Amino acid sequence: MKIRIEETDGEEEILIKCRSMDIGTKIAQKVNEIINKEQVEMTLYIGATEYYVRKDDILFFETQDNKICAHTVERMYRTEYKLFELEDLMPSYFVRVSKSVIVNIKLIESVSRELTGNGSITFKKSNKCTYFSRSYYKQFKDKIREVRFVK
Amino acid sequence: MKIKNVIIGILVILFGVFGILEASGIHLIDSSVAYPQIVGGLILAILLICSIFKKRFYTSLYLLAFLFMIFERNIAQFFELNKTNIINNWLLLLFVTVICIGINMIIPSNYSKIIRITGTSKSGSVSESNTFGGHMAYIDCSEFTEKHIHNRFGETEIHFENTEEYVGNAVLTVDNVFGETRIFVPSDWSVSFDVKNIFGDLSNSIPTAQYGPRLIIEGQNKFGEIDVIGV
Repeated sequence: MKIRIEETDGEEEILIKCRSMDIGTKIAQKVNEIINKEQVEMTLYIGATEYYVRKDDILFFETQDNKICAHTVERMYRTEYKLFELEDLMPSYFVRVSKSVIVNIKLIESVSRELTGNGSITFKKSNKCTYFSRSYYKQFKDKIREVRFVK
Repeated sequence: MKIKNVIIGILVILFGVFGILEASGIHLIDSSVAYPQIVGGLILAILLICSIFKKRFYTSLYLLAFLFMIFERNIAQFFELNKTNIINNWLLLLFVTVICIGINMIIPSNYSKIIRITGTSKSGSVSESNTFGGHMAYIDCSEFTEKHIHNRFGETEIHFENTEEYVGNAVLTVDNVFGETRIFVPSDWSVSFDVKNIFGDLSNSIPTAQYGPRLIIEGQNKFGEIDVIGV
């Protein structure tokens, strides 16, 4: 398969030419994911009001009342995305720590583990706290090492 | 199909079959060997090992109790006790439950994933439940009209978010049994606190007559503690 990239001066446009609609759709989805990951802000909601929140300011996402909430230091927002969609959309320093929580590793202040293997996470400049599950602990620990300690 | 489930499934079936045969007095192989006891003990031993590896301490305690019940007669013979029934089975289960409660009070386990339930009650309001664990509930005030919180043997903290959007007169129903529920309310709100208390402890640091958006806290507290803390 040939891939050709042309630089244009006009309006940004991505044109996908291929034989099969299925392949084209998959490529378009992947491109969309990459673009979304690159975006610095995301649209969140409080009631009917839209807010444009920096991804780096989000402490964690959690499932509540069958909806997904995004917590920052000051506020709590709603998002239309599901948790599994957010895992693809958010930058790599957002990691799933339980069935219902995704956290921003860069904003973690402390992690404390209980005898049962589960534990709690606190965040910088915030009194908010969330919990991680022991079944996600290994990947969580690996991600912390990767994000915070690798130069 | 997990191998562990297949093995345990086969053993459970054997336990049932041997139990029926023994109860009806039919002995297929050797009448001196108590096959239901052996198979039952094997099943419980496998489950006990699995629960220890998964760090499920409370399950392990109950499985130990059931193992004790099955081999009670053998244990009595081993220790040369005069009686074959060392302890009543119901008493044993009661004491194991009391031990579990005591352990959880000293070392509360955070985020018991199995037990945290979120759902919708018949009235249409949303509820959250916490049993034997720690739980943080964040209530979005922009959509808050009614919420139920159930806390049993655990610790629950309730925090209010987006408080500038709160219009007032929302109802928070708290059902607290043998646990501790702390409700952190903005100091400029007024709180109407109408919780039925049975052998428990209630405290409210926010006066009812204060001006500001009103929060109505209702429910019941049995043998536990509910604290309303102004922040």
